[in-house]
Amino acid sequence: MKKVKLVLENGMSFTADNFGYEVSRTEISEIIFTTSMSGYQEVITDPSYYKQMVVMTYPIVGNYGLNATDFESSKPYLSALIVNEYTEMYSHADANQSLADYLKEHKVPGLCGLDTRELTNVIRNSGCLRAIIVPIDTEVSSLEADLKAWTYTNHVADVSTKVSYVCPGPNYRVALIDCGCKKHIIQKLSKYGCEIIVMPYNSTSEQILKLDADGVMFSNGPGDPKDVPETIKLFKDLHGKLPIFGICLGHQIFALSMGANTSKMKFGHHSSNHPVKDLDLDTILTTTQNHGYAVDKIDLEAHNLRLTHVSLNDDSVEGIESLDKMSYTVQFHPEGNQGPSHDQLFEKFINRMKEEKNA
Amino acid sequence: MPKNKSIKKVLVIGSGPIVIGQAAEFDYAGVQACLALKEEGIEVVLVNSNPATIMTDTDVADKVYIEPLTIEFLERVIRLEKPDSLLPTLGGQTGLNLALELDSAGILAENNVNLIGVNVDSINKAEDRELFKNLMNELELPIPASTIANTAAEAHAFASEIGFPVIIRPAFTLGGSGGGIANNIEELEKIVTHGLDLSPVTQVLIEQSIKGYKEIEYEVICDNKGQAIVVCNMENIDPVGVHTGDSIVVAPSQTLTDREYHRLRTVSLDIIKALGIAGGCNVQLAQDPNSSQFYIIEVNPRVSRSSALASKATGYPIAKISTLIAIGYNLDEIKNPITKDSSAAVEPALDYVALKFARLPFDKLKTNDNRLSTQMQATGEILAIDTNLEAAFLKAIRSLEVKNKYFAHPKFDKMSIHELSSLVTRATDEQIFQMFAMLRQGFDPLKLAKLTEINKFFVFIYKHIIDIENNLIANKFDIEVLKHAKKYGFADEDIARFWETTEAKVREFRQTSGLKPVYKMIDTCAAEFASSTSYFYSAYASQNESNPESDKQKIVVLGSGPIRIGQGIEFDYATVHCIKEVQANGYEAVVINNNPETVSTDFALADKLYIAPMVKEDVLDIIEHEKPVGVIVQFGGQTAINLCQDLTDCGIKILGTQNADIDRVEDREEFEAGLRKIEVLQPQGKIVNSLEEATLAAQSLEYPVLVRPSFVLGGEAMKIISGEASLVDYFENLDKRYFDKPILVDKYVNGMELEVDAVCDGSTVFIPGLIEHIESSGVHSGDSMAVYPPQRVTAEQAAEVVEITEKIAKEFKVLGLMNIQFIIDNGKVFVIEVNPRASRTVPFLVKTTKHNIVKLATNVILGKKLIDLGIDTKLAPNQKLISVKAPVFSFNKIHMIDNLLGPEMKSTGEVMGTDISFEKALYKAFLASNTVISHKGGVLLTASDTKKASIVPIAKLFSKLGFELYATKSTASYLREHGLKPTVVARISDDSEYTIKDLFAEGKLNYVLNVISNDSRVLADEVTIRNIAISQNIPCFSSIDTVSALLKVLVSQGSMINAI
Repeated sequence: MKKVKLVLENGMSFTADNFGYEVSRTEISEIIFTTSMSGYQEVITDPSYYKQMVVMTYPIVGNYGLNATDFESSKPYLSALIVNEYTEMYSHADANQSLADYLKEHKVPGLCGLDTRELTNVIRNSGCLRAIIVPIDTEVSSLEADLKAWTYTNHVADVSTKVSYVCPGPNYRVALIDCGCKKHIIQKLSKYGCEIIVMPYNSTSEQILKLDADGVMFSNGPGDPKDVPETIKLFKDLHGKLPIFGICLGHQIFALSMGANTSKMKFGHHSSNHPVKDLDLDTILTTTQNHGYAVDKIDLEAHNLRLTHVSLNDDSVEGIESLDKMSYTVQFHPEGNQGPSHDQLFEKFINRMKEEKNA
Repeated sequence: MPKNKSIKKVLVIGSGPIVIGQAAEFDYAGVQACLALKEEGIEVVLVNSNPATIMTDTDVADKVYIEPLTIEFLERVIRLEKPDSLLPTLGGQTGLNLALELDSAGILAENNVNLIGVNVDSINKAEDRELFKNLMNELELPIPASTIANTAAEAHAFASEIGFPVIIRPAFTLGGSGGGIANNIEELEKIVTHGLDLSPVTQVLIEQSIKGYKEIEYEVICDNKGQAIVVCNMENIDPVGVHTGDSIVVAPSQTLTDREYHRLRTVSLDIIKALGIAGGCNVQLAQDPNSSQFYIIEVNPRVSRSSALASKATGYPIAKISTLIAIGYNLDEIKNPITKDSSAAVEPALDYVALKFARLPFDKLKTNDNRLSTQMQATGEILAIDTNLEAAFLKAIRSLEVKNKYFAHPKFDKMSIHELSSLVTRATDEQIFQMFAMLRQGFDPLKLAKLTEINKFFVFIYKHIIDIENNLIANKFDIEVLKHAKKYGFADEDIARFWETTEAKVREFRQTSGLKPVYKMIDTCAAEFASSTSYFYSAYASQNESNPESDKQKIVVLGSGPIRIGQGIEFDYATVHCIKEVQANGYEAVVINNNPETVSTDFALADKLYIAPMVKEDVLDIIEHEKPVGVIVQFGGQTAINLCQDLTDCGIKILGTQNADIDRVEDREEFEAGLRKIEVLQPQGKIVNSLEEATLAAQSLEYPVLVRPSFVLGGEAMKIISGEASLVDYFENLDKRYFDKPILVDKYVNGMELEVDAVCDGSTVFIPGLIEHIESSGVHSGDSMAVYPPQRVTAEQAAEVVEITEKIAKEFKVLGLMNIQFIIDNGKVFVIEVNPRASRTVPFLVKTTKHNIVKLATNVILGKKLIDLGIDTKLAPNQKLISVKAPVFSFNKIHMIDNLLGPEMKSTGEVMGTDISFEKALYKAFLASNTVISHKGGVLLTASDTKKASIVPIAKLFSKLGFELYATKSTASYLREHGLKPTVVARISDDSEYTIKDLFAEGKLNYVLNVISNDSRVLADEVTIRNIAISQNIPCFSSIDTVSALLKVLVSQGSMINAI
């Protein structure tokens, strides 16, 4: 395998083997780590990882190949997949392709053969960093300025659907605001018989209301929620008019629309073992998480919000609901895949739509 | 819910002696539980019959009872101590069953004791086949279909309903004999007909076969609120059909998609919640490799062997958290003790692979059937950790303490593919070597996966190891190839073989190239949170996380590796105490070990713990990294002692007895010369190289003689020979490999055996007490019963033993612990063996004499003198109470060729009985070792001709006590000659209507006495008799001395009826 160099904005560099798509130089993006021990297929196709290089802390990746069902979208969104050990000789009855072949097909580089725990320690200590993959003989110092200067704000626009489309279903009609939606959110809603109309992130409230939907879902997505004022406005305009449920980025957008604030986290939550306390049910949920921004915990009440879920690890906001109960959102991924799912949050949405309809 | 404040005093039941399937993991769990309870201010009462456990130390529990684990004794403890609660989930199946019995007998209710951590209902639901089936149906979870058939027609009907293959198990046959797998109607017909025939109740169990499915386990924890998490999931590399305790197991699972992982995870959590278990639980599932179908295999509603493994594999202390839950806490109220910061409700994330290999006992317990099956046979296990599987596999084989330290096996590597193909289809302890041999010869990995039903993912890993091996062979002293090989776990020693050079040269080449391992932390969270756990494994990677800098001086303590016959939990006991004392002396204790079951690998114990193979390279790398002031080897059994030479050669300072002195003890000639010099008697002996020389030697020494190969351990291939014919026999049957080294022929001294463990400080010794063996010499010391204080030793003899001990200590410059075995014959004291290290009897002595000689020895090793430690006597005065140690065997788990006791050790564990009289102590020891004591019934007596005289007094006593005597023809007539009236019974092989077998079947026998001389040819009949006795749990004795001890008990408990 070809050797390449991974350079971080703090000046550190790692030599690695390049599998999947052979690359000489990538664009700059953010580097984060996830501690999920399985589910690489879901991770690489999750649009929330757009413009991010993802380090998998679990050291052996590729073992069960890729299958036809576990994609979270139609293509990989991350800018590079970084693992300790890549398994080419995969083994699974459902597998029809190796991870490397898939990455190659979609021009995504994979890195392996580096100390991913060291890299994880670096990211944990310095917070998420900008990074680039370059040829092995590149001078690190020549990249520093570019790395430090890099910013990107167009994440959601890049990954959101450009046109609306319908996933038919017999029951409630849900307008799904696609900020980079994972396929399993749609599948969960479908499971409950919903008809889903997937709308672009910059739809207007008029467009949504015209759909005569029973409820609105704001999806997950990449980047900083403050980069999508149009979607924040959309939430604000829709709030109170019909039941709304939001996940991840959708949750942050809700908080901002209500006047609360969000901040960038040190290195975010990227795992499928994150313990969250459900304050309403007084129980712990083990959740999948993938976010670099969080809703500030201060003054929620003042913004007509109440805390419904909180992280047991760092006490951060994991779920909120408007005091009028019309909208509620969670920071984690109740749809699972990868990771555990929490159907009760979808059931709540279905029930809310039912109540509104009956009312 | 916070802590339940009504819990003030808790009774904890241990798991008793070490047997196959129930080993040191329950000491580890029990210690964690007791300490957690004490930290919470709760008083702990502990009952366990096993003295070789840390949990029975008085600083672990407030009150420790070393008593037989029976309802009667537990009830007395309960009445005496009045605990308010009983925690039953940490003592294995033994503890759990006892708790259930106490409950159903009404004893718990009567004494107001609450079961905590579990309720009877949930145990029943998990363990009762029918209730479990119902629960699974309720939860709509699939279990393999099964039914009971009393006729072939019923079997047909079931098989045609669920389809083939099906498993047939005849009811109530020994070891499931007569069972099998039927793939079609014809096979079904044949097996069922035969099975119904064999079954005493004409009944077979027919079960849907899920053989070849992936076996997956989930370790789950649930709290009082029904909040549950998965601590760890594990994939068995051997498919369903091999007991998980014998399988190679990897954590986390490797071949499950996330969807499958979470499907099974959800199911496991649903089960623990439905069962209502508050604490740890193990769920075993089977996943079809070819579809999404899965089945629940079984649930263990308690802390298990797997949970100890999961604790060590993840860093998450399951027993501790389970205990906190049992006293009322919930997961969100407990901090993760590893990170100290994150919540205990976090499911651990691993960033390495943890691999378990089972240590099987077939090297010691000779069997002609080494197949692995649903009955666990392993005595112990090892854990190997790395960031890739290849390295984990190679570390595992180095850790296993078997002959081959690499996946090469001279026998199999010489075989043809054809021969290997027929062998490799059977799961055995040798299968992995056969697989490597085939891959080495170029066999297709995919075909191999098909043949073995082992997932091709793992076969590819093996293939990768072979590829690297070939690459090494083709590229000698190539640094890039070396780097690659080291990353994937190859040892310098293996590489030296491929490079046709020495290990030292490879090491030098490696080190001059700057290639050395780093140490990675096990932190439960894959580095997501900063952690300061000092729990490490090695990897050839870039960042080192084990900072060798310290304010304190460091001492490395070597552990004892996997538990196997001859090296049990006793050595972990000694290791743990050494670690504590090293710390108490102001040093930092660094532990190296690889046994996941033990207390010594509890990351909370030492200052630093390394999970590593106990071989030169891995240990030396750690020592060079840590730079300790010295290494202590004498508590880790033979594993640690074996490293002493290599470490010394590399200039590492050994603390305690030096390698040169250990060598002098182990080298026979130097040892003999040493003893002669200090005028200590030993049985005369000769060194021979052929049968001719042996014959001459035996003649001059006079029979009986003790014959054995040199440079072997634990009485391997040792035999007592009473005549020339037997000697010829011995030589003809001795494994060829032993002839590389001389054979030793010693005069067999038959006398009373004594055992001494002494602490030696260079100028004087301290002996906490003498241990007297109940069986005379000839039975391995590990298999014999023993008593403290001695019952037959005179003051003069004791004084002589002390004097000899001191002389030996000085002559061989022993510093620390030493074990000597003596024989007293006709008033003469002979030395038969000296071990310059901690021995198996150390914990028994610590418990009985109250002198912690490990602590003393550690202080001596660290430079203190005995006198400064308050020891001013050479032999401690005897305690008032009498303690008897009894061995415990696991014969019922293994199809052995023969289970007769002899110079080779066969027991797996021990128990202790203590009381005010010898008889009472004996009674407790028998009881604790699960010997069923009957005061009436029948005794079967068989003896070889030379031993017939010896059984007469015993037979008389049995008869006098009212027992019915049964004997085979020749024994019977001998007994008749001596005035007894035994019933003659035909041998099994006799062509007779009524044989010994029928006697067993009718339940007429309560004791079996089968006394034969050690060199008798093994008769099939006798083996069968012993096997039946073992399978029916009828006490079976081969030593007159053991029976005499038993009779002492019977006499003391019964009244003699004499007509006047």
